[in-house]
Amino acid sequence: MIVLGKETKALAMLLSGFLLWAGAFLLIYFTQATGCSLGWQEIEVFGPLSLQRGALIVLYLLACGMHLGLIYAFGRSDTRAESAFAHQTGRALAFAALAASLFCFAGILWLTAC
Amino acid sequence: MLLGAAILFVLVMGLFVLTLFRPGFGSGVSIKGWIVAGGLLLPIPVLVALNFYALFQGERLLPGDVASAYRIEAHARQWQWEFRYLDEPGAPSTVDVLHIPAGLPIEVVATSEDVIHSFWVPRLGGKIDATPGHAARIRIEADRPGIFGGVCAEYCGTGHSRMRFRVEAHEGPDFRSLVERGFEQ
Repeated sequence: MIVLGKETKALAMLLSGFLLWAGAFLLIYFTQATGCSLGWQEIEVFGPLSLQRGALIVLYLLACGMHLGLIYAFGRSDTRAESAFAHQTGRALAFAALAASLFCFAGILWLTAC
Repeated sequence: MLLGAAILFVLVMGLFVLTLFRPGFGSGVSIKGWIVAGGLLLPIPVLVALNFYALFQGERLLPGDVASAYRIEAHARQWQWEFRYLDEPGAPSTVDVLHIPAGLPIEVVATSEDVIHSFWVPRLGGKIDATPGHAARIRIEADRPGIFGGVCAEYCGTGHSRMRFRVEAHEGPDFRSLVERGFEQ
């Protein structure tokens, strides 16, 4: 098990929210481009829902779930004693990153997929 | 858009000038208040509005009902544009001049022979890269007859800056007779 130093832990807390957002962005962008290239928008999987939109919606929900998990972890973890500033700011950034993901990636629900 | 930008510019510059010439201006508002108002309340609605405007514009530029659009291939090569009229069998292609009917959506299929170019007519809509091996589609439309400048918007070699073209939009009957004359004007 990797044991993080106090400073590394503080840095990880500050970066975690938007690193998660960046990872979700890459994954959604990659899936969108790959799906369009493979013609997923023409494969219907559930009524009028295409494989392309279905895959993007799954990733969107997954990203939101991971953001909520991070916020939950901030609520449970006992890192306040180590760095109150990093904990408080990291938690606020985790909420901001959730809002950013909800807003930025919502286009996959209604924009033309390809 | 220009009006909105002008209002914001005057607001920000006005606040700046007031802080310079009226000492103590704004001290009634806390530092946190300024940060929240200037850093969140002012930019977020503006950015959200611009974002939705851009997304709706983007949707409008995408090829929709293909059957209703007039199709033209914009074939790029170093350093010229050849326009092929896909819905006019037998019509000759034109070089660096694109003739279109006004008031009709045009689907441009951008292709390339050599390197990556980019088709862009600023007055008529967005731009799209012309990539070798791909056929990228974009929709443009001229509301009225006229001449509109177009450029290659992706650096494509030493002749890039000369790789310009023009779009001539004609009234429907004028366009039809031009096609029948083989684009001889």
